[in-house]
Amino acid sequence: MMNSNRGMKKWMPFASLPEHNDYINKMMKDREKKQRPELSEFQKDEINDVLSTLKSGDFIEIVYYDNGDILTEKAEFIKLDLYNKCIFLNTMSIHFSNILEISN
Amino acid sequence: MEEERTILAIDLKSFYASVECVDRGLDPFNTPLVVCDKERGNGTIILAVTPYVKTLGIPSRLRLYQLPKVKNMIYAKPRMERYIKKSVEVLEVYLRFVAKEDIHVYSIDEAFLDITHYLKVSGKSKKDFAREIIDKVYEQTHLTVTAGIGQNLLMAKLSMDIEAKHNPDFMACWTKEDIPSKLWPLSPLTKMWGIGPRMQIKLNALGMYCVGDIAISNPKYLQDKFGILGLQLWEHANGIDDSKIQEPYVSQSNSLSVGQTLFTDYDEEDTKLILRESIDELIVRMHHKKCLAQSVSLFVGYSGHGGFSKAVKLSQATDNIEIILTTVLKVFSMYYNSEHSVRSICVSAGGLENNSYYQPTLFIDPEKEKIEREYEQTIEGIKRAYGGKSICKASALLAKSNAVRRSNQIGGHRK
Repeated sequence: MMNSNRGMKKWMPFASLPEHNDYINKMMKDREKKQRPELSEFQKDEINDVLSTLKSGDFIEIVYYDNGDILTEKAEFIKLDLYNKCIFLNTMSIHFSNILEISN
Repeated sequence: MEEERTILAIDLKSFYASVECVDRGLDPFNTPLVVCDKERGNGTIILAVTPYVKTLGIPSRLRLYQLPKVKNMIYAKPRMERYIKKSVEVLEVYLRFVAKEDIHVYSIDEAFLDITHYLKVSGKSKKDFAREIIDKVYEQTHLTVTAGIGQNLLMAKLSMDIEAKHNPDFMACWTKEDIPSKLWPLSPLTKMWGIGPRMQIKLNALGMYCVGDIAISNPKYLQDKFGILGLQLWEHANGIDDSKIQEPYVSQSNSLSVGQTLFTDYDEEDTKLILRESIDELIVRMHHKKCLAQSVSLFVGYSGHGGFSKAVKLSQATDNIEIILTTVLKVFSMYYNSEHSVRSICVSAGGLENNSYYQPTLFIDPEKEKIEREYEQTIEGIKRAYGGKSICKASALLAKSNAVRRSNQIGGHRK
């Protein structure tokens, strides 16, 4: 049997409104956003313990929450900013409340 | 061999006009309303009319001066951004029923849903499941839809376009058995999806006047005449379509373009201004997609008829505005015939590649380019945060500039 085999090509939308796609992509992305995980008191204590033992130059791995994403960063520890409640790494800074896991 | 699927095609009825009615708390089925920007004058296109206006025998696409006088007619200004958002809301309703892999968005007001799997699991009938989705769309958005069900995308689309529109419940379900009685009598051929006026003329010349004439012809003959599209034509006439929503087509033509149809005649200098503005837009889109162009092309349409179209290969893939601008303006100056005035232009960036492979060359000062890049990024950042009008070139104040107007537009119509 012959077959034209064009697949979904013939159903290509006329891309007359690129903005339409932008909105769809944004909606799809928002749907994939995760809720901030709730940490138990035990997990909080554990993070606290690790934070208080870090020394500048330590190489650490940190799992953190960032606007719907859960990300991991491996970097060098610089310092703690207790006033602004942030941890400074050589690559970035993370607010304490966004830290989910930390290990060195 | 074609696999048996159940596809649901959904079309939002008189979409733009219905949104305008719903937002005003009116019923599209008894409200005289058209969507058009009256300020653009009598020649402006009417983008949509309500089902009520259609019952008066008025077609859905016409120009303002062609619209007969209708009592209490409401002229709604187009709000493209609103329609897009509403369309996305509808898509979110679909996503409550089926996975995104089973949805194909065909246009702002049309989508296909592959419901095969969901019927098997839920044990619901095709029509019940479709009805459930349609009711939910109405509940969430107050929009009425037309729906077609078929064993593939084509059959779903045809049943929707040809039958569902005329049914009281705006729904139709076709099976293979319906093809001879419902599809084959279709005439003239332009009523068939995928056949335009030119194709119709060619087919008429071969003695084919209704879809049945195509269906009973020899597929080999059609293929010899029209190539792969001829074979596809024969398949469609027989309700055959093996496309799968789960295997989306990824466009091979990797290009971006910005085009403008102008409202008045533009001379050489004014056209250059419009080209500059279009290139500004094009560059923003390229940055957004993080790509570099290997070639640029320019189309210029003259007032009346004629014009030219030229493509130029760039010595190196780039997203540098100066290089692209100079190239396009050079092409324009070379080919533009100053006896004509310009009514439409389009600039495209072709052969796009990912900008992560970018290599500096000897011919571009890297320091200067870095500064230019930062400058462009800053301006784009301001535009993103505060809107397209927040920062403009001084040339946007020139009488013939379209920059400010276009920043208020989507698809050439009001945002």
